[in-house]
Amino acid sequence: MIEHKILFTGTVGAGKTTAIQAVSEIPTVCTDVISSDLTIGKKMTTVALDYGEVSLGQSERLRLYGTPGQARFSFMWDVLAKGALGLIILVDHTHPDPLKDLNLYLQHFARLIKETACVVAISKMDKSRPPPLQEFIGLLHKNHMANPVIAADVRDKEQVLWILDLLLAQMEVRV
Amino acid sequence: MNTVANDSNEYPSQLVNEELRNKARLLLQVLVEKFGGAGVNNAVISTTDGFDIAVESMSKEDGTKLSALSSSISAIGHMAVKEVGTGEHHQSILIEGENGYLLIMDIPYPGCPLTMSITATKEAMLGKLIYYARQLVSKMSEA
Repeated sequence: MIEHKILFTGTVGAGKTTAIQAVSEIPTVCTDVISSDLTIGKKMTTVALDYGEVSLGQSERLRLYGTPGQARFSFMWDVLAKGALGLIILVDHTHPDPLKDLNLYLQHFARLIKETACVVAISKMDKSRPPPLQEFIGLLHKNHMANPVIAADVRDKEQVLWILDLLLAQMEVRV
Repeated sequence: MNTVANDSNEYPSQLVNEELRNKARLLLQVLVEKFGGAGVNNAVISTTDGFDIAVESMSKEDGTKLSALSSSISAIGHMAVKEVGTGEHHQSILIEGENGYLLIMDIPYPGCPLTMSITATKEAMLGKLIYYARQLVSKMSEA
């Protein structure tokens, strides 16, 4: 059995906890607490980590870790990034400046992205609203990154599995 | 799905009012004074999602940082207590470094759970620290 550690990060409310719960085969471990921050628009928020597991066929198992979204928990980002073989960045499209949000994670995890694999998934995307997907791709190019950028509904197990497939495809190319 | 007990429909930020801040500030002052400068350096009371509501003997900036740190550690503590079957909530977490301690305690304030963090040097008597910290928690937990 080959095991990989995969890390989910990204904006608060983008669906990191939801994505891990959608695909995990074990009851997820989660550290949600009541949010006292009215600006994030939800009642619960992750303050330490999420954990779930999913197996792919007979030979591979993914250990899924999720980070808190807020930058004040960036010390947890570094703790959780240790040993990760791939990064999934979820960006909430309904936030005021999702490009700026994405840039924060691209900068912070630049080394992990360059050394391992990364997929950027835009959640809650309404195609009639700017910015279009192309601008997120452009931002990656500006950072000399060529990782896949997709729109996804992370409540849907199939779509989260698809994101994981995209990530694993990059990992296989590197091997 | 995870659950955290919250009977109230109010957001905690509406419960974090000036009265609660003052009470927290006063209790922290009393605790630090008990040690008269010998050993207990800093103390902060925060919401469980890591925002400081009262900071004692440290800069606002350091209080903000310690609040975020303690909220993560505290959440892991709650998770650990459940996983190993020793309860639903941790009551205290003690982290010992070469030169001192970080003591984190859960404050089950009704509708708005809080976390207290105290840093102390090895000069501080640990038993005394835990005793007064528990006293503070019980006073602070009263609505």
